Amino acid sequence: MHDRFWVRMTLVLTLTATLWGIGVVMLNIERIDLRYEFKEIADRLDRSEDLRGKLEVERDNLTSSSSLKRAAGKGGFTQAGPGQIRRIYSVDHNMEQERP
Amino acid sequence: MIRRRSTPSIDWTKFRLRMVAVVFLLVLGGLWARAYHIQIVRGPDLALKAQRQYWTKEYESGKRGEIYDRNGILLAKTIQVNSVYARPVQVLDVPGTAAALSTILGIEEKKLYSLLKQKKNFVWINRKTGDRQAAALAKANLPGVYQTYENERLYPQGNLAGQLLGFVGVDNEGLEGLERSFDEFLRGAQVKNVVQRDARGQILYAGPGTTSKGIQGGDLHLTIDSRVQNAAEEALARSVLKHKAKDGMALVVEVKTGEILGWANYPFFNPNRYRDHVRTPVRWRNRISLDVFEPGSTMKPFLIAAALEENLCSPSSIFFCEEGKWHQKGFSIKDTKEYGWLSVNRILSLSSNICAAKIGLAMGAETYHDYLKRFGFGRTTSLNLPGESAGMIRPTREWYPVDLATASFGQGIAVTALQLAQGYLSLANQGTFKPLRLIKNQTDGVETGEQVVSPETARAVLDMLRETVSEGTGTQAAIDGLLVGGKTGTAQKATAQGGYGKEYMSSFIGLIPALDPEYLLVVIVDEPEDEHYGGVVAAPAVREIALQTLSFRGELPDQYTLTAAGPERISVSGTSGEQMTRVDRPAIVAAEGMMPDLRGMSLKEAMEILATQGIVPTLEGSGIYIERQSPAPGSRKPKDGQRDCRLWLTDAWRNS
Repeated sequence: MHDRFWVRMTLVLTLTATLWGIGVVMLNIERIDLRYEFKEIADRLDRSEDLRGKLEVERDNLTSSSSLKRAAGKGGFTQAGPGQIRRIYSVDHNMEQERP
Repeated sequence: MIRRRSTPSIDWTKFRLRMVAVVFLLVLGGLWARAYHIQIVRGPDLALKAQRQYWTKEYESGKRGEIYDRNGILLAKTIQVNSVYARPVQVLDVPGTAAALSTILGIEEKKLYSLLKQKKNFVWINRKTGDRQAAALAKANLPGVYQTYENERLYPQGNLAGQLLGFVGVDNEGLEGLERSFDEFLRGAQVKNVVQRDARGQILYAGPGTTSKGIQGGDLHLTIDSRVQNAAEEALARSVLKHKAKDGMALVVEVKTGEILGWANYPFFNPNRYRDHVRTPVRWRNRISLDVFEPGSTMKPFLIAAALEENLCSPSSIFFCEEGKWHQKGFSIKDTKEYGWLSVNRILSLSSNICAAKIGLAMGAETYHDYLKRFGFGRTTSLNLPGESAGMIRPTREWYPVDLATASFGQGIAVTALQLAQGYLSLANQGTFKPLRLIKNQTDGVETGEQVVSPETARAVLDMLRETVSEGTGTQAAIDGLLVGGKTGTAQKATAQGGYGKEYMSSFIGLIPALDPEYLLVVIVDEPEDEHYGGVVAAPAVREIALQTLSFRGELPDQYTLTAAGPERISVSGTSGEQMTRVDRPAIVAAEGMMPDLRGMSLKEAMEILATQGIVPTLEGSGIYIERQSPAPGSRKPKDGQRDCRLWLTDAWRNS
C-alpha cells in the first residue's frame, strides 16, 4: 500500500515535470517566434520611416524655390513687380483697419 | 523405456530482469552523472559560453539631426541608402553575375568581372545605390552578392546655401559650414546595447524598453528664408556673369531681429556632390565669413557716424574737396570727380575720398579705431562659424597719417562681408549694436546691444544714405514707391607685390526703407571686368534682391489707395497680408475751384483726379510720382481744357 503510493506519486510528479518542461519549451519557441515577428515589424517600420524620409527629400527637392521658379517660368509666370499686387479691402475690413 | 533423470531448471527470468534493471540503472545513473557534471560541475562555465553565443553587443548611433530654413523647408537630411557588396568566394557564376550586376547597376561588366574574379571575402560593388536598383538586385537574388545600409546626407535644395550648410564626410562627421560648427549638436550619440541573437546570428527584437531614446541628433532651424536665399543667389549670379567677375557674395538681413534671411556665395556649391570639388576646395569656401577685403567707400558711413557723434561736424558742415586731388606730405588722394566744397551729406552721397580723409584726420586714429571696434570690426561675429575671420585692423600705434586717411575711406583695413553687414545693422538699428543671427531661437552667446552712436546720429547717416540712392552714386538701387538708402563701394584690390592693381571689389549696401530700415542687403562682386563701380555692378543686384524679397514677404510697394473719406493712406500691400509701411497724409481737401495737393501721389491717381475736373496737365520729367505741381495746392485751378497745369514727375516717392 505504502509502495504503491510512492510509485503513483513518482509517476504523477514525473508526468507533471514532463508536461511542465514541454510547456516551457513550447512557450520559449512561441516567444522566439514572436520576437522574429516583432523584429520583422520593427524592420518594416524602419523601412517605412526611411521611405518617408526619402519621399520628404524628394518632395522638398521638387518644391524648392529654384524648381518652382523654373516650372513657373515654363508657364509664363514671373515675379510680381511693383504695382502688380493689388489688395482689395472689403468695407468691413476697411472699417476694422480704421478702428483704433 | 529409458527414464531420464530430471535436472532442476534455472529460472533466468529474474536474472535477466535484474540485469536489465542494473543496466538501466547504470545508464540512467550515467546520464544523471553526466547531467550532474554538465549542470553542476561545468554549469556556470557552459552557461557563460552560451550567454556569449546568445547575447551580443550592438552599437547604435543616433540619426543626425535635420536642418530647416525659417519656414520649415528641409535643407539637409540623413537617410539610409543601400550599398552593394560581394563575397567573391561565394559567387558561383562569375561571368553571369557580372553581366547581371552590370545590367542592374549600370556599371561596366569588365570592371565587375575583375572585382568578382578576385579570391577575396569582401569587395564593394556599388556604394549608395538607388532604391530601384536595390529592389532589382534583391529580386535577382544573386549568390554571393549582398546589400547593406549606409547613411547618406542629402541636401534637397541642391546648391541653395551650399557653402553655408557645408557637408558631412563618410563617417557622418561635419566637415564644413554649419554641419561642422554645429556638428556636436547635429550628430546623434552612440550607445551600446546588449541584444539576443539566434543561431544564425540574427539579432532578435529586444523589446521597446531597449530602444535607445534621446540619442538622435538635434534639428537645426536657421533664420534663412529659402525663397530670399534663392532670389539672392540668382541676382548675384546674374551680376557676376554679366560683369564677367570672379565671384560674388550677397547677404540679406532682417534689421529688426538681426536674422540673416539670405547668404549667397557665387560660384555655387552643391553639398550633395562635394567629392567633385575635392581638388578645388575653394568652391566650398564660405567667403562671406572667411574672406577679408578692403571695403572701400562702404566704410564711410561709419566714419561720418563717428564724426557726427563726436560733434566734429554736422550734416550741413562743408569741407573743401580740393577739386579732385589732394597732395599731402608723403601721400596724395584722388576723387573720381573734381569736387569743390561739399556738405557732409554730399560727401557721403557723392563718396568723396578726399573729404572723408580730412574728416578722419580731424577725428584722430584712436577715436576712429574705437568706433570701428564698437561697430563690430576687428572681431568675429557671434555666429560661431568655422574659421571665421576677424578681419584686419591694425593697432593705432602702427597707424601713420596716411593710414588714417586711407582707412577713412575703407582702404588699408580689411573686413569680411559679415562684418560689413554687422556694422550697417547697428546703424540701421538706431545706432544700437545688434548681433547677427543665423539660428532661430538662439539665445546663447548673444551680446546685449551697446549704443554705438545715438539714434539721432544714426538717423542722420541713414538720411545721407537715402540721398546716395536718390541722387548720389547708388541711383540704380532705387525702387519705385520706396525710399531706398545705400552706399556704394568701389575698392581697388591690393596686389601681392604691394600697391594697388587694376582689379576692383565692387559693392553696394542697401537699406530698405531708407529711414527705418526693415531689410539690409549686401552685395559684393569680386573683380568685375567691364565695369567696376559698385553703383553699376552691385546696386542693380541689391535692387533685384530687394524687389523679390519684398514680393515674397508680401511687402512690395503697390499703390496709393485713395479713400473717399478720411485720411489718404499709402497702402503697401502684398500677398501675405503683411504691411511694411503705412504713411498717413492729410486728406485731399481743396476748396471749390482750388487746386488739390497732388504732390507725392502716383501719376495715375493725379490724372484721375484732374480728369474728373476736366484738367489735362502737362508732364515734365520722367517717373511715376508727382514731385511738384503748378498751380500750387490751394491756388485757383485752371479753367476746363486749359493746358496751364504742369506736373513734375519723379521716380522715388517722397513723404512730402
